Amino acid sequence: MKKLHIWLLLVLTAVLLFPGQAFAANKNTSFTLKGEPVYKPALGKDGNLRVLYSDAPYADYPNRAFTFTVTTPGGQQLSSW
Amino acid sequence: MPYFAADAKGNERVYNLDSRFKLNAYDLKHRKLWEAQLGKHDSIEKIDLKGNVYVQRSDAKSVVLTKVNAANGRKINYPKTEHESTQVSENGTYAYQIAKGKDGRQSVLRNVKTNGKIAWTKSPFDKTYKKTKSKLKSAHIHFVDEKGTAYVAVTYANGYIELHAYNTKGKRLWKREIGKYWADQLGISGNTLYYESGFNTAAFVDRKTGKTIANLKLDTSEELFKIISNSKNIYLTGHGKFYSYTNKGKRLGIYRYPETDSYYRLFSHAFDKKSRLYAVLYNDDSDEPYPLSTTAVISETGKVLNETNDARNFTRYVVAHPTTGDYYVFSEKKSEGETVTSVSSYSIGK
Repeated sequence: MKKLHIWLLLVLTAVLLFPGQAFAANKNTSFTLKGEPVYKPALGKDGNLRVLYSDAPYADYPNRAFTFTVTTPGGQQLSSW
Repeated sequence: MPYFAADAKGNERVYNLDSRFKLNAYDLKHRKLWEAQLGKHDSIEKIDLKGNVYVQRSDAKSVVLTKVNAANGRKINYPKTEHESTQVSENGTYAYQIAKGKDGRQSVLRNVKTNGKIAWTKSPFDKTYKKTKSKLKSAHIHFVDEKGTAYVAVTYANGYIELHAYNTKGKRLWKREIGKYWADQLGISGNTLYYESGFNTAAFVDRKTGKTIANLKLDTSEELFKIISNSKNIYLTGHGKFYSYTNKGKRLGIYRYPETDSYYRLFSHAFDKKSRLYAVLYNDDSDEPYPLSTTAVISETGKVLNETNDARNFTRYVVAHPTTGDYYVFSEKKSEGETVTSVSSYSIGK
């Protein structure tokens, strides 16, 4: 019974000290692409990301190359060209 | 320069305008769908919700808008106009033009069908501004909504401005007096049209009838940059903060950017189907190589659900899942002359 009281006290203290923490967004995954997006990325109906990006900044036009990729939210590239 | 478009039917296309001015369309597997030859002076103006591409070319005498069909690359030229661009609704179904009338002024309203043929011409709107008997000077189409209603600002010689709404048959649905100042800021949310009508006033108006839903006093010291809206809310964005309103004119709250004195601006945004706003803001007064940026998620009721500040990376885009509360933040970082984009996923839950 005493143990239960201690657990309840701990939970209550945590809720009082960190209100709203349970609702904050968590960073789930992160991956990188070599370059910068050149057009607004999109989320497909299949749940995967479509990204158009360039290896060089806009000022380097017309020497920059573009890549289109479909990746999972975890960063696995399903296609790239 | 490449572009990406997805329509409601699930068709997805990647467009690329090459150095020989050929617009090439591909599917996601890089299979070529079609190509369309554009001109040297053509510029891509927009891509509508069906994936149709609009290309414009202009010289001193005329402006021509060409629609490139998303399905087959066929081009349709809208009739040329003298100065004003052809205005097309986001769904690509309705198009209107302001052209020169017999009196030599920009005073004819034209409705153009999807095949580029003129459906009707309305001229003139109102010969005189009744109160002062001032003659019509010019007209400008501000917006064409999804039902084909055109919202036209009509300016008279004495500087007075009226806002008119015309339906697809050329019938004027309503008109409202604006006064001598027109802020050129217009937003649509549900059945509401929002516009700023003076230095410190704005109105929420019923789109069908033109009747006032609510009037708004704006802070005169505030420079508002951009109005964004979804089906329920309207957001007025300015320096250091933005205001959220319901489309009935009720103020929901103020979202203050991380440094309220700074020149934070809204860079890009997304909405989900639960009316949550995902906003990317950046500080354009920063001396840093990359502006400081932040991503905020605001609920339909104006509550801040999450905020991510990143002083080291420049966030340019956010992409949101329509229902789950999952979202993806695209942040750039320069390292040894190369740029790396970090894509981070977050979730605020359903």
